[in-house]
Amino acid sequence: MQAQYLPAEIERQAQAFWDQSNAFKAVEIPGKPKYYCLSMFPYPSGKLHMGHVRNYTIGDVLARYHRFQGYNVLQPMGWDAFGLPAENAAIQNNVAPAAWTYSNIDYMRGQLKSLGLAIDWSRELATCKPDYYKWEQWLFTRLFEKGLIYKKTAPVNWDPVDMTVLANEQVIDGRGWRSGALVEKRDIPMYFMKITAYAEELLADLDSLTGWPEQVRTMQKNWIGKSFGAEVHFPYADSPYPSPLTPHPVLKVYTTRPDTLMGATYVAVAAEHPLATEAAQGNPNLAAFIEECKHGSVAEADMATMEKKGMPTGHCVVHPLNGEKLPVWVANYVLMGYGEGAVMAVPAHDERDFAFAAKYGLPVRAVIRISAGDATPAPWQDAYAEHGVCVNSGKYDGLDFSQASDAIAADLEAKNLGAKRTQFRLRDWGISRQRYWGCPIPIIHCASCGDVPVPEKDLPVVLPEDVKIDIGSPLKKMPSFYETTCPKCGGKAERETDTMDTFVESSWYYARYTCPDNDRSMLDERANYWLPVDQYIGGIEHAILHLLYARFFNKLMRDVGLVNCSEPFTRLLTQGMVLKDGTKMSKSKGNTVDPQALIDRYGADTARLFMMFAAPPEQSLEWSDAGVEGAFRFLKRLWKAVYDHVEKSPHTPPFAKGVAGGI
Amino acid sequence: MHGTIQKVSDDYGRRQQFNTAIAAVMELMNALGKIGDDSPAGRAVMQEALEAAVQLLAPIVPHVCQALWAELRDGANLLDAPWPTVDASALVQDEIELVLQVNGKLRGSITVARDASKEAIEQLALANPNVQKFMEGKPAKKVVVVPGRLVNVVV
Repeated sequence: MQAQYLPAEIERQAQAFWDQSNAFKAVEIPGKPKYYCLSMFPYPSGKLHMGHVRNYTIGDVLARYHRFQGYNVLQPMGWDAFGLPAENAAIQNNVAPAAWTYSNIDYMRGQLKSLGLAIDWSRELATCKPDYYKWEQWLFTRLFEKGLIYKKTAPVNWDPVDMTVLANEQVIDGRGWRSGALVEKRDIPMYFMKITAYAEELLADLDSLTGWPEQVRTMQKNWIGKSFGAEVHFPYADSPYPSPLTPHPVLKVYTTRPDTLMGATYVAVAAEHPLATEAAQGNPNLAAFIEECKHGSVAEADMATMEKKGMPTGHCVVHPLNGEKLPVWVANYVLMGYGEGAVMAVPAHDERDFAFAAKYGLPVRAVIRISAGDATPAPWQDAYAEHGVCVNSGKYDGLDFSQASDAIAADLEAKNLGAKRTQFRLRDWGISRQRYWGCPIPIIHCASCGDVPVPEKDLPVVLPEDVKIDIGSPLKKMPSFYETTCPKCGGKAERETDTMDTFVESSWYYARYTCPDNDRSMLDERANYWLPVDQYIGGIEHAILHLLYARFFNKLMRDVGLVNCSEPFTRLLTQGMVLKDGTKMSKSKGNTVDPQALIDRYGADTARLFMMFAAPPEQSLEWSDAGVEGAFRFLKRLWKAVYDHVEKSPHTPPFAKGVAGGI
Repeated sequence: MHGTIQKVSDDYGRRQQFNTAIAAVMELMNALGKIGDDSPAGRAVMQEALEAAVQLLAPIVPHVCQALWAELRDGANLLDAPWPTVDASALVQDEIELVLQVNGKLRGSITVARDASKEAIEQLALANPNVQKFMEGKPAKKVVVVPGRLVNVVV
């Protein structure tokens, strides 16, 4: 036996052996217990970082352990290959996004292989390949026909320099994260996935996910945000209402605090509300203010912190219970996309209304007895928003939150001016992106037939890969891409040039791994052998969006008959960050350690051992050179112990002392 | 060793705490270092313990374990080896450690069979060199045995 521990040689040999013997090829064996172990697939950014190494080692440890336990293990790997960085790199380096992406994939695949992961590489997939996104387009057309995808004009964050829509998290202090340009709110037609149709089930099924961290379940629950409250109708008090733009005789609001209705002192509407649009006609100041509101973010978090601004419409509504006239304001903190785009303002018991009323001198009427007393003097205290017993509320005095809510809702209902209502915070998912490097939306716009989904026989709509990128999407400048004929009437028509949010690809890849070679359908019976994923591993930063969308897609696929299970991931492990000197390793901070250098110097086993020994998987891991050294020394010791044992003569002297005891 | 197998298996499967699994194998390696027993029985124990260590570490450091297993098992493929099973009877320790005191002061320890008689424990305690040293040649007035815990020699 070799006396020295020589990791480079050992690892090369072991990997070659696993490769040649197809050691980790997963085959469906009915009756044998299966274990589907999945790590969140990487974006091919260029090279692996330490977080990847940690993530994939954790997954590999679990996969290998279960293999030893006799499970039929599937551990696949692939590439979340569409996305903005490829376009940015294309602009910087004058290389097509596709070429950049494929070359990164090749390099990173080599890196992953050098880690010795027990992966079935025959199932590798890349989401930017037509044989993958064809099925995404196919599902899109099915969902479009079922009405679960629809088109709507919606306000979005628009970056006027990059000429694209920005996600809320891409807007930083009102500016585009890349261009630095002031972001505008713009109304554009977009396709939406009706995730709200599944809100109730997505919420209820969280209870069954006992293998998930409590924190993640709570975050999803809050994101879905089911609230119990009431719809309240405020009849208009003056002409010209009802009118062509506001045909209903009442202004509808939704509130989670019907118990505070007697404290409402004004009503506020969003800048996009028809009432605001109408009031702005012949009121240039109001029109200018509404225009101003249309700039800036549509993110809810920003709504809470930004400076409250407003302007009166000059119109009033009638309080449905006490008959008082309340002024209607346009306010920048009211979102058109949530509830009715209008709120009843109760300054005494709502922080935003309180700030607004203070600024514009609107009355504050306390109607709840809270721990701070019966009055709510400035400055705002969090106690003002507490639940309590009604005061100054006439017949409702003395009732607690639920009694008052019930009584007020009942009275509104009797007057036909409202009712109890549950509401979700979750909104439909806008999936259109004015981007090139993504999956083309399979819709054809025909002047006479409208929006027509591309028929299955014409799928995939292939994204041209050989393009030049400058400003905006090159697809809009490529007649060869967008000029087509209508599948219905055969007339001249144009293809949609928007692509899908890349979160769509990552919402179903876990299922496609079960049958990546199927060119006749999206999924087949193998999906029901392997699914659900038994163990999913990834970062906590995906707690809401990715994990919620994947759960949503699983239910969509179930409801078109593609999978049997209702939830995609039985057990979830969210691994902690890799820190150096107490902060997260990141390029911008310049505190990264290149995993490749670590592997080259000590070998993959030392890198794996250090990462697994330094901290439990879900906690932060502090980088330590001494820890790496220690891991390497331990492996040398292990090697030497076996060497000493194996090399000793099997004929041990008979005078050896003592009796072998337990260890 | 069987305790290690049981703990490591639980760390991998249920608890998903791999750092403590590694620590348990490190402890096992430390214990092995102290054996230094070249008898056939001693070598058999060493073989069994090294095999267990290699198998238990294999999910974390698969390359080196693949190589070491081939050395220990004459070229065998580690991936074909089933996970080591826990021998429940071996989990019951057959020896226990007792604290030794002279006049109530700690003077060392002895290891005795779990089922050793009171008389045997007294004899072992009185024969212990450290106990004899602190008895300073005086006769034992009394020997108190607290089963499973300690022996106190009063002079």
